[in-house]
Amino acid sequence: MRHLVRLLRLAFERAPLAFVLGLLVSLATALAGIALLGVAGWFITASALAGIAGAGLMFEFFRPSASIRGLAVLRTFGRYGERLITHETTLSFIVGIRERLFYSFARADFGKLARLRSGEMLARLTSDADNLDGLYLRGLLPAFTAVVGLAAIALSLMYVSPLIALGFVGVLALAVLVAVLLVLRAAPRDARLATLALESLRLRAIDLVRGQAELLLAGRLEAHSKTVLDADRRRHLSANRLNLIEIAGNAASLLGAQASILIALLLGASALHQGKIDAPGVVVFVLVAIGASELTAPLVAAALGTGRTLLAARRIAPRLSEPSLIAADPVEFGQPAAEPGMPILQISGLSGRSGQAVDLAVRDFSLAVAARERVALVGPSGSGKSTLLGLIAGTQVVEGGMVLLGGITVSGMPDRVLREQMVLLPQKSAVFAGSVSDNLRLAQPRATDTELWAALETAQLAEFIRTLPDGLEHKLQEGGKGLSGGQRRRLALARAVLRRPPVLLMDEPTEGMQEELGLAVLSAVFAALPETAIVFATHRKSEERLANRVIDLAPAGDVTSDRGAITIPI
Amino acid sequence: MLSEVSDQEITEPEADRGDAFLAAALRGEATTLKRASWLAAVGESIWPVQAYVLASAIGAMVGGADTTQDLWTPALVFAALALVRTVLGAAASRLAFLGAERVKSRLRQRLVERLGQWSPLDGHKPDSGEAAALFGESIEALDPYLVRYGPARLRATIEPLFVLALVLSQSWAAALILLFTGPLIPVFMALIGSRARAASEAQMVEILSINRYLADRLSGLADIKLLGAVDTAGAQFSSQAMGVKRATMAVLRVAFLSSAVLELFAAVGVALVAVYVGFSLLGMLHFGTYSAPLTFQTGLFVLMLSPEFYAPLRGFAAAYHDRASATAAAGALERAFGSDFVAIPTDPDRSAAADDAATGVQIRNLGFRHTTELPRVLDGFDLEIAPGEWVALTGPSGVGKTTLLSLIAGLGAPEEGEIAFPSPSKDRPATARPRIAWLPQHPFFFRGTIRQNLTLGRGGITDAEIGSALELAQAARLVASLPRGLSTMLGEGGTGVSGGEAQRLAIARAALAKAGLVIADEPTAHLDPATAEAVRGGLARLAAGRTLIVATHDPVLAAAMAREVVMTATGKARP
Repeated sequence: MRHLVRLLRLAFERAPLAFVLGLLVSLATALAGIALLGVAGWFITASALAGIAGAGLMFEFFRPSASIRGLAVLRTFGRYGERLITHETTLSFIVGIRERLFYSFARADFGKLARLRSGEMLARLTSDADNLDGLYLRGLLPAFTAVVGLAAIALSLMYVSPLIALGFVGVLALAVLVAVLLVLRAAPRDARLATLALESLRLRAIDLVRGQAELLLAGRLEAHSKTVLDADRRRHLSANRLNLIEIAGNAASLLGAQASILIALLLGASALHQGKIDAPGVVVFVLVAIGASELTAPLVAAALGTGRTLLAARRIAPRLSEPSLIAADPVEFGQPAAEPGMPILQISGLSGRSGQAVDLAVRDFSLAVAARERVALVGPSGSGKSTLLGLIAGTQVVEGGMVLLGGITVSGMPDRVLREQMVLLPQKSAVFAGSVSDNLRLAQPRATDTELWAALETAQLAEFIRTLPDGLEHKLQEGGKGLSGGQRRRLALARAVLRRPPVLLMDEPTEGMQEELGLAVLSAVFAALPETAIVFATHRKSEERLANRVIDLAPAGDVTSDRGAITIPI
Repeated sequence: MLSEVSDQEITEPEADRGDAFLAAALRGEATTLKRASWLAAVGESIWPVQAYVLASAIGAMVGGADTTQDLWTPALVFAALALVRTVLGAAASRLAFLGAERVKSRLRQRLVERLGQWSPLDGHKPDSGEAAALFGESIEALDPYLVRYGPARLRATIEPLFVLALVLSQSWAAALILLFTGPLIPVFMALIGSRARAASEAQMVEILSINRYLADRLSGLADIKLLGAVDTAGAQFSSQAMGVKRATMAVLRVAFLSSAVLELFAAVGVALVAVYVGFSLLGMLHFGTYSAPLTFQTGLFVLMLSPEFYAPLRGFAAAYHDRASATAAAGALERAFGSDFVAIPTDPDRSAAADDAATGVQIRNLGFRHTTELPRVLDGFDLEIAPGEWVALTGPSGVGKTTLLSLIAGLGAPEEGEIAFPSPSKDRPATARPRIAWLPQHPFFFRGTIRQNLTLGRGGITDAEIGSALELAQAARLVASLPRGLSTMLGEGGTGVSGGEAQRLAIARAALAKAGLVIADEPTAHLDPATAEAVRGGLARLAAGRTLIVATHDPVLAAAMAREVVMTATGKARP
């Protein structure tokens, strides 16, 4: 519940006016509909009595018929306005939730970010976010309209007859309250189980496709297919219980509504008999009771939806804190700067491991790199090249030793200062949906088009971009779909070059390119960043030759063990 | 998400195919669902009867019948009808749910079978992400349609007619009012609907949904952080998301007009009926009934009924969105269930027993193409491999090495020619699979422990056997270095394995299977020399006494084989 309140506060803050207006307009529209029924009923009953009394021609019909017209118009335009305003609120809420998710994950550690690359984690995250989206529109809105609407009906009919007003509204409210509480109590557990079963169904389907050949040849395809259908069976069992809960809730709600109509009729008749109210009054009560049941009709569905929302809210609530810009982080840090003659990057006794491995992948590693130096890291896969670059850049946990940047220790350096000084091009680099220039300006928001073209030239990508009809404004699909692997890599390199960092770390920068092209790209990057200290991992002999120092991380013997590094002076 | 904000516009022929698929998927449950629709429609049609009871009771009251005693009979009838209505509604909901669940379960069952049989060599096969979406979202998107659309449509067809007939029996004037306002509604809704579609086409060009923008940014968030570009990327995301929001609102402003039209006509209709009834009762109007002037009781009944004339249309309009999304989902499912799929050859009658006696292979005049639009990758290919022989397939990439290996393993059927396994027992690819160990270029690891991944869930394999398989593959130390050893989780959310580690674990997996033929695809590609050496060693130990076919670019590995078959672009082999 705490989570739900927080989410609703978020919806309010995103669009306070639309949030409140949506509630009020929706309430007014609902009440206009009920009033329309009530007034119409009163009008024809009073007309009938006047007609019977022969006073038809003297009956003042102007005001009731004008109210009927007015309420009809109010209801029509109210419905239109209500839908627009509440969808405006909901869309703002949707954007707000996703902005918060973005900024919150931006502060997560790199280990967690690597897991975000998996499609399933993203699918789960977005489906959770989707389940939150209906909270205002399908949760708060009907609940508010029902509660305030019923109170308004009770209050406005109190002066006619408190007994009847409280009687029929009370019965309706009680029945619906019981139905909603029943659903809220029973549904969340099964909503959670059904969601989890569906997620496991998806994962097993993925395994079925990706592991098909292995499963088939090992004779295990049928066994695995059964596990896929088992997940569906578990989903079915939960869905079945949810259906029974829904039926019980709807039955309670419907019977309550019908009972309240009967109560209005019986109490009204008895009051009429006692002369406390007139006949048109009875008709008003009965018709308003009929209208009131429309207020409460969507509540069982809303309670069922809340079950799903609760699970989603619990799962992503920690990710929904106030978004804050990295630029707003306090900086009480001197700018690191290399003193002339001093190495800009100093690494001493660095140790760390890759993932959850028991053994250290990098042990007691030391190195000093000066500006303008180009250092190649070589060694077999598993020798710790990527881990070493990750330790230097702070994407892996440093377990011993330290990294100094311009004489200042990197640990505890605010992110915005560190990333200003040092850029790491990881082994797998991402390209985003949006234009080519959007992608490049991530690195340098104020770069001119000329600067963008220069960076593309360096990455040997300018020629290709020029062939695109929209050039720099060409829209790339998600994940840079439509570009080849090598083109994506070169776009990422152009981005890194645009940063012009004092220290540039690159993990196999020419992956996915032909050897010749790779060499040309790498030489151009070196030429474009003459002052930068560059450390890059490579497994190509030709690229080693571009470096002025080569560090071999090759361990001897067992490929998973590791030894200290050997520096080969050139 | 919001039903109105569907971000997939579907084209007409696709929608038709989706409709046809839906109709076929329903077969078998059509009766159940129809029964559910009728129960729901009959249940809803009880309300007019209840309204008649109420109107009569009140009419008697206003007419001056004095005691409240009179009320007990109509009250009891009303309550009994309410109970019947509740029971019918519950039964309808239950039936519809069960029918829909059976439709969905059957689709999932068929999908499992289809994907299991679908040859990985077929270029039309859905990838794993698409498969997950088919199993999850696509099939679930049918649910609201199955449960809600039928009842809503039936109700929209019969209830207005029922109400109209009841009103007509009392007053032709009131019936005329309904008759003139009602049929106009679908006309105007259709007009506005087409405007809304035009607006959405104008707005939605090149606009992804907000979720897809978010997923795109999150999956590359590490890069954004490393560039120090979190704030820039955040601002870009916000402006893209706000752009989607603006475009969506522009479409909704038009789309909501259609429901406003419905509301308008309903309100006007009810108001006209109220005014007509009121003025008739006042004695100012003298037409519209059949003989006697309109009574109060009749007037009240007509007034109470008239909203019911429009309500089913409102429900149907809401359910119409369910149909649109179900049709889109059905279109995706239809493609997966279409006839243009290539099955893995199977032989239900006969299958070789797992056996590690060396297997011979005979390939005659083999021809194959991936899709009909593409030229053949293999054409007139011949190859004979003796039992226990080690053969390297080499040649430029794209020449069909992986395809050939897959065909030998029975993962697809050749277009022409045949593959046979003459020894130790006569087999064809459809039956020989149990005696083949398969080492793909990118071995797949399931969500599960290393132990489960090595045994693939087969029982009766001891940890000691697993240990020696790992020794053979030089992966024992690797597994021992993991925090939970054999119980370490792999795959989604677990530890990742590097290329060299994956190859060695796959060799261990193959060593645990009894197979006389080992097929390996580029086992040393992208590995550094030391790791490649370890993999070559493991492979040699695995294939000792067995037949080995390996596709490779690695000259050292090729040299370790007894024979090298160089494949050329024409698909002919040069021994």
